[in-house]
Amino acid sequence: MVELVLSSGFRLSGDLGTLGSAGVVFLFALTAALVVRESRRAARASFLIGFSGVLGALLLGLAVLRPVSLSELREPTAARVVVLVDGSERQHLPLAGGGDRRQLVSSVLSSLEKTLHGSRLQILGFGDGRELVPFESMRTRPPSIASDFEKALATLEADPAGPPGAVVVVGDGRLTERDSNDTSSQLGRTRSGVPVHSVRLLDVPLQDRSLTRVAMPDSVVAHEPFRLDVELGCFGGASCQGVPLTVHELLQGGQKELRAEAIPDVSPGSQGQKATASLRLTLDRAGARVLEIQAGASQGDEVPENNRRIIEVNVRRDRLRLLHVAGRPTYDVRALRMFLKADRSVDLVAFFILRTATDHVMAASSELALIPFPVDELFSEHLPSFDAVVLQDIDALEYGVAAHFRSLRDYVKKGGGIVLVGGPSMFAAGGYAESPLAEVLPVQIRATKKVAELTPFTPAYTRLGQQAPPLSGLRSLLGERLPEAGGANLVGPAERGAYVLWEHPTLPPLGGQPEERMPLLALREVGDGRSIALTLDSTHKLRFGPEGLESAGRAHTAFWEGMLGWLMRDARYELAQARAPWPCIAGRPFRIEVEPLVGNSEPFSLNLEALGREEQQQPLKSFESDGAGGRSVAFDFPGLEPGGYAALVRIGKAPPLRFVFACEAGGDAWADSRPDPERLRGVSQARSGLSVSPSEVASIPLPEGTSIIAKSVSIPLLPDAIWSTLAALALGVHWLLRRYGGLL
Amino acid sequence: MISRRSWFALLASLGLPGVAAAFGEEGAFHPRLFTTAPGKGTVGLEGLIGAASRWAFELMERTSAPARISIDVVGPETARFLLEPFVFWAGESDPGELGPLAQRRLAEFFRLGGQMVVDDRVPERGAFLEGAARELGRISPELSRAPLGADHVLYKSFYLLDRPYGRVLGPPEVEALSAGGTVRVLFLRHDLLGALSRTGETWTHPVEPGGSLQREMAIRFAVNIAMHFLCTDYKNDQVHAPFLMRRRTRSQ
Repeated sequence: MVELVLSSGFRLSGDLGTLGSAGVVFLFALTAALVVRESRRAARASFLIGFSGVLGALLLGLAVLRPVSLSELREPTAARVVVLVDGSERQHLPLAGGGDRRQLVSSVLSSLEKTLHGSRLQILGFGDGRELVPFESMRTRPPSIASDFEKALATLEADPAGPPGAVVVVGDGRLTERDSNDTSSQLGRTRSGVPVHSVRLLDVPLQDRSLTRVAMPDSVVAHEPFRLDVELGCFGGASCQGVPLTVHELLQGGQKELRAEAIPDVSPGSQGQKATASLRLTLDRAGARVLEIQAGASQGDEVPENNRRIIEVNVRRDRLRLLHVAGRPTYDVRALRMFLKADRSVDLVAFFILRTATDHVMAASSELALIPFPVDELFSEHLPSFDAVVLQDIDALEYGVAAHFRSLRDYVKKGGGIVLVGGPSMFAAGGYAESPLAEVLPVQIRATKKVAELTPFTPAYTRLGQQAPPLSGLRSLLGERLPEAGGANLVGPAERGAYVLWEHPTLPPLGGQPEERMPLLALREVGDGRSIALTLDSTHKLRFGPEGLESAGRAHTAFWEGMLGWLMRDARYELAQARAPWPCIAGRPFRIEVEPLVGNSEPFSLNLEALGREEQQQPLKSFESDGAGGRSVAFDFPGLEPGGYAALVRIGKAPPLRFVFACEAGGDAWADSRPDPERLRGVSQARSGLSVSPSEVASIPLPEGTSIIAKSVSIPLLPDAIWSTLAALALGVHWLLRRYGGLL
Repeated sequence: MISRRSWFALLASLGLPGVAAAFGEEGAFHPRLFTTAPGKGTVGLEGLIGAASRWAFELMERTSAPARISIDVVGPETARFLLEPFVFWAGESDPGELGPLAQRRLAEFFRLGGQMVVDDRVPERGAFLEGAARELGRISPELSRAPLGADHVLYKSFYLLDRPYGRVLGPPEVEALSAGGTVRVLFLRHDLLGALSRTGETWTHPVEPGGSLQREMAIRFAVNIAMHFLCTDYKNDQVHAPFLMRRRTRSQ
């Protein structure tokens, strides 16, 4: 049963505000002063004139104000106390001795509920401080990496619901996005008002060696060396002396590769608590890449997870470095070279075989402008420096390329792109059949006596080819019309996971079923790279030929732009775009949203593969989703292990879209595991609060309660008409007296 | 055993004009002859056809480039003119003003990236070359006419040469209409095909003043023209430059 308290009083005006009432009072006072002063000039009855004038003005003022008597029924209410609990990833850090921080927080909250019994307790969680939400709901929300209780206090002060009676902050005091010496927004020390208490979860640092800072340029360019600055922190007795540091790149379908290593230098004056290293490394492949930075383990480390950072690096490409190797100069080679040379963003290195062993040059070597084909140098030493390799009509056995097939295969698996362009010396005719390189190609190449189809035909689009974005430019110019081909290399069926865009209109693949059609243009996503097989040597007709004329020569450019664009993962040639709404934190919910670029009713599928492991036969996770009718589709993961991942998203039978991301334990929230109890103490002291340890929660005082108005009744002292009548009478008498006194 | 290239060459030699080329031969160098005399077919051009065929043969014998030895004669009014990117225009006298259709087709040819060699068969007079240059300049005024320097890639596209050669020694340099550094039209005052023309088992014309050595150099120059056309500025690529510079220095 709530006890209500009745209070009564008087109010000068029932409806005018304070300002209005003050205005009326001022006018009355002014009038009264003037009337009194004027009444002194009267020949007689000056007192009566003055009195009646003041009375008339008073009654007129009261007629305007209409005073009321007020009765209020008040309900005493407990004070509102807001408990701000750190809900960031720091809540998953351990306590000294291996205790569970979340259990300690639960225990503190229970104690607070008991201590502040009788108050209206509101328990809110904070992360970066920009938003305050019920603490319980933070478990199901996206992880919050940043922790900033000062911003949370500022957000609370701006709450339109009004200030609480007291605030209790529960956390370790560390502001993760600011330096520990940063005092720029310690609002608690400069403002007063609501008391802010704090419960310090931890007063002493854990024994921990961690990568406290990893910094690199905003923009990393493929093939260009860049600097990676790493800071190692050693706390709670851990040492930073002689700690090995390694940086690996996590690749899809292959082991992680060492990119740099160092022993960080201990910073002078840090008592061995801080060491820094500046590493130079080069990433050759553009796009999203994942680096693993690992510091050596330390004995007794209470947070070994933060010895390792897994970070995503978006590597951009300033120029496409492309190696074009052709077995003989033809119109097809010429057209492709002209296209590549015309593109200012392509850094082209070309080698054409201009002379064979059987040619009679009729000249001494010194009279020839020919240089030896540096096949070993190109395909061993320099191969990683190229973004893509185009092999066009070259006999791999005769010119020594076959000796480097393993290197080329590994190059593709590690993110390189390769294009095989047909001709009489290509595919089975050039020794490519059943070779290590064939493992990464989109078509099967079989050793056969008949290596080429010599009957002219017109290639046909497959159903996939009719929709594939890499061919959209070509289709927009020519529809589905393609130039007649004089023949094609004979190849087997498409490899598993490959995508055929053009096929022979009638011929089945070598070793294939009669109802199948031989692939002419096929794409494949393999390992970290991509490959294209084109078994024709007639795409130059897209520039010169009936189809070239129809498109004013642009069809050739459109075709090769699409091919190279897809090979280099240009977003314009993907069927969809993928994004993660929040960063991936190990063990926490994660989501990938896929949005098709065009209205698509085909079903979606997603396979998740871990980076840095040999090619996986089975994906880690697979999802299937019905067609979304052009809307975005979300794939939810309950929690992943720390590491790098590639999500391969397929829409229908189209080539997959690859989304690469890093997932680490704690992320930046765990980079510096030290608490900052001084910061909590400072804020509480400045805001008239107490800063206590979890065992001292009972000492936090209960704030005084307040009361709220349950019911309010106001009654006018007199009806409005009476006030007006009295004022009129008084003013009338005053007028008569003025006449009598000789003032009118 | 017949080589793959010879096999394709044989196919090419059997090929008839207008018939689709076989696989591997579609992109072969084809020195088509350009004529502005519609309806005359190959009448009067037999010698040139033989010389162009010889050019293709020499190219195949000496280099890895495939070539078609069955030569087409195309006029700007023919449908096949715009199907391939190379033509050779040889003549003895001023070709006269080109008709509107020829102008349109030639403009389209250059826009698509086609290349032409204009060879004056009577360089002493020079009437044909000047007339052809006048007409081509009108068609593509955006192309600039200028001599090619001795260091141009034309002189190192296969053989290392110091100057142009033909039936006559002619001037030590050639002129070209170029766009953005790419040669569109090459003007020769050396009667190149005259040096390659054969009658039966012998050469049709004597080569003056250098005799057989000059003829050999003319063949090499013809090979270089074909390789320059097929490979564009490939030999100017940075990877080749130091090597070729060293070789030139040694030769000197």
